[in-house]
Formats: sequence, C-alpha cells, structure tokens
Amino acid sequence: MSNDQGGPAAVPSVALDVTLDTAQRDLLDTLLALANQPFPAMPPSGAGPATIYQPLVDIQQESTNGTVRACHPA
Amino acid sequence: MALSELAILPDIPDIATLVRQYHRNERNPLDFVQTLLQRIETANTRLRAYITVFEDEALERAQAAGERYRRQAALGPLDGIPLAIKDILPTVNGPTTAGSRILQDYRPGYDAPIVGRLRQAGAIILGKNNLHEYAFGVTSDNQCFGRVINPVHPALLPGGSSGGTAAAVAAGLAVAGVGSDTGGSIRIPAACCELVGLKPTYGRVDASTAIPQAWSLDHLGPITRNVADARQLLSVLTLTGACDADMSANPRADEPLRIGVDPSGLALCSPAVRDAFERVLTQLRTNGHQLSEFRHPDWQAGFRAWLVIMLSESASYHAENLQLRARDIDAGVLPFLIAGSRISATHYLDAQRYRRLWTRDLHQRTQAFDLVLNPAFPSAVPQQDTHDILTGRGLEPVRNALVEFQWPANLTGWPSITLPTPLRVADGPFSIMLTHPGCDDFLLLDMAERLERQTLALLA
Repeated sequence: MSNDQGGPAAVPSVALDVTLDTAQRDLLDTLLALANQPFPAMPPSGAGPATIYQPLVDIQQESTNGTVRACHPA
Repeated sequence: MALSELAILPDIPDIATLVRQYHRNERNPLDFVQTLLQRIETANTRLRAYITVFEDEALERAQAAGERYRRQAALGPLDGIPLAIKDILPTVNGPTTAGSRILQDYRPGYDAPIVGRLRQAGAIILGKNNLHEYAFGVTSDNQCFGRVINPVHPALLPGGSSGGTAAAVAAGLAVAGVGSDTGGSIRIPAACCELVGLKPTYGRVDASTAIPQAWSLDHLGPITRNVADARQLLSVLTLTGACDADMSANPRADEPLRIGVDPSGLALCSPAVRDAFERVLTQLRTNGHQLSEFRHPDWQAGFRAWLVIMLSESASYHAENLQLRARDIDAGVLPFLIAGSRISATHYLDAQRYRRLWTRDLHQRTQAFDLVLNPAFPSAVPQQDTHDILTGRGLEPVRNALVEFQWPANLTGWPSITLPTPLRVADGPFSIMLTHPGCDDFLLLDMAERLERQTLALLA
C-alpha cells in the first residue's frame, strides 16, 4: 500500500439500498479515480503522524500572555 | 417586497454602531428584532434562508437586552445583536437538521459551545439557516428545505454550503451570521452575496458538537457585511478569552504589506477574472504595497490530499446513514459518501502525512509575506442551474470551480477571508481572498480592514 506501488488497493463496497443513476455513477468514478491516485513519495519519517484534532492556536500561550501570536503549524 | 429591494439594506448598521445606538437609547433591541422578524416573515418564503425561526425566544431576549442597556449593564460586545446561525449547530430549542431529511426531526436539546458563547455575550439567535445538505455542496439547493435564493443577484447562485446564512445577512434578515467551512463553505457564499466571509485558523473556534462534514477540515466562522463585524464576532467566538475586538498584534500597521501572488493560480482563472484581479493588483501597487510571486507546492497532489481527507472523514461520520438511509440522502451528495467509503485507511493516513509536508513546504515558500492573495474564484459567480462555467482551464463543473482556491486554507488550517470588491465579472460580484500564512486571525483582519478601507474603495 505504499505510495510507490501504484496507489491504494480497492476497498470492498458498502451494500446500498439504492441504485445509482448514470450521472451519479460517473461522478463516483471520477471521484475515485482522482482520490485513489498515489501521493508523491514521502520520506519514511519525514511527515510524522497526522495532525488530526490538533488545534493550530496556542491557547495556553494566548491565555498567559493576552496576545495573539502567529504559530507555525508545520 | 421585490428581491432586489431586500439586498444590503442601508438601514442595518454595523455592530459597533448598533451597540452605540443601544447605549444612547437611539434604538432599542426589541424594536429592532421585531423589524427583522417581520422582514423574515415577508422574505423567507422566497429566499428560503431560514429553516427555523425562534420568534418568541428572540423577542424575549431582545426585551431583556433592552432592560440591560437601560441599567447600563450590557453583557458584552454583542448584546442585543440579532444573528443567524447555520443549521448544523445544535441549539437547546428547535431542531438541528443539517439540511437533511435524516435529521429533520433531530432535537439535540442543548446548545453547541459557540452558541453558548454567543448567548453569554448577549447575542440574539433569530434562527437557523438553510444550507446545502450536510454542508456538502456549493449551491445550497436543498431537497428538503428548498433552494436558497441570492438576494443580491437572484439569478446567480447564493453559494454554499452556508448559503442560507449568507442570504439572511445580505437581505438584512440578520445583522451577521455564523457558518461552517470545510472547503470554502463560509467564503464561497459570502463572495456570491457580496459579503465578508472569514474562515478562522483551525481550532480557534470550537466546532465541537456541530454536525461535521470532515472533522480535521471543518471550521466555524462569521459571515458579515464588513471586516469590523467579522472581528466583533470572532472576538466572541474565539476559544481564548484573551482577545477582544480592539486588540491587534500587527507590528506593521502603517507599513506596506508584503503580498504573495501565485501566477500559476492566475492561469486557472477566466480572462474576465484575470482582468479584474489585475486591477486589484495595480491598485495595491499604487498604494505602495509590495507584490511578489511565489509558487504553491504540487497543486494537484495538495487538492487530492484535501479530497481524500474530506471524503474519508465524511464517509466515517455517515457510515450508518449510508448503510441504512441511503435513499434519504441527497442524490448529489450520495456519490461523495460512497467514494469516501471506498478509500482505504492507509490511503487516508497517507493524505494526512502528505498534508503535513505540503503545509510545511507552503509555509517555507510564503513566510516572507504578510498575506497570500487570490481571487475568490477562478470563474464568474455561476447562474442558477449552471452545470459548467468558464475558468482558465476551459469549462469546468461549478463545484470544482468554486472550490478551486478555497481548499488550501482548509488543508493548512490557516485563516482566510473573502472581501467583496466594487468590480464586476460577467455582471456579477468579484471578491478577493486573503490568507495569512500562519495562524494570526486578528492580524489577517487588520490587513483585510486596511485593504477594505484603502484599496478596494478606490476601485469603485
């Protein structure tokens, strides 16, 4: 599943109680073709863990100093 | 009342003026709220801006606010200010539908934290706004609650997904509003309705309990008539209590701004948008600001990271809806949720890892700038029922065109604001977008206010 092996493997489809029409199927195919392209190669440890749920604002610092500071999210 | 008479009514002052009038007893909150409720009664059947209106509650709170002003005991900077909120925010009273059939009878029975903040500051929630179902589109054409109409340009899209909030503010059915933005859903409708839309830094405004689209891309923020009102709202919405509307961290208040422009972004614009944006750039140079070119990191790969994250997180939230209630999901939204359910966990995590690298790279390329400047869209604001619209790439789906310049600020989490200009593209509005390449919302607001006052006014 690594980025240099041509993209991710297929994920089994969820069983739905609806049938998509042609326009919906076309949109779905377009989205999957785009989304499932691999990302450019990343260094093994360079990207680190995902930043999900991590606020970019340093709340503690603001509360302490009473100022708004630019912070570096990367 | 004709739709054209509803837009940008001059009798709605900015928030600071309203508060001053309340203090001086030149206007009282109860009369003002009654006026707005009457206006909603008249206009909402055509605009479909509100799903729910809290008439009794609003009148009660307006009366209480008036009494506080008489006692010189106003609660805060929004006391007696009538606001509209997008219907993804839980409220103690009434339903929270997210514009969906599935949640149309959902009554959470509690206030979202930011609703509580607004109430503590004295704001009066007039009601909850229509939106693109589950905040998942740019047209605000809702299968359950009707199509939102743009009150400023009724033939044009109101934008989405916070289209009802923008329509309410633009039509004078509220002084300001709160929307959400996962890929432009505050800034797009603000630009379509000639308003100011601010997507704050990720995490600055507490989005907890709001019906999510994609947790790590979702932001809540203000839609207002001007930058000063956006500042007032953000000062209340922001997580820290340390900020107030007068605070500025800007050490360069009187110096020329260092503005970064990506010429490859301009190549994505239609000729008419390029012309309008060039006029803005010329005016900025005339005003002494320093314009420099830079290039974003891999644009397509960044977009794919945003797309994969958005689709995956949405599908996670909607997993049960997808399995049990797929028939009740809007036909245009359903393919996105199905797509998200077919993305692997490892690919999602690769997108998050790549997001971090992309953001770091962009920060290095833009750290010498005070702000990054784009047109809000690479196209004109589309007509209603338009499927494709002209950009620099040729004809593109409206959805793709309106999101084109929006997603980077959701991927990075940086604050971004759209400002209307007096310029016109295809007889419709033309807005610019400022993004601060860091996390300083109030500095961004300072700069936006300078441009609003010094530059954009000169283009009229």
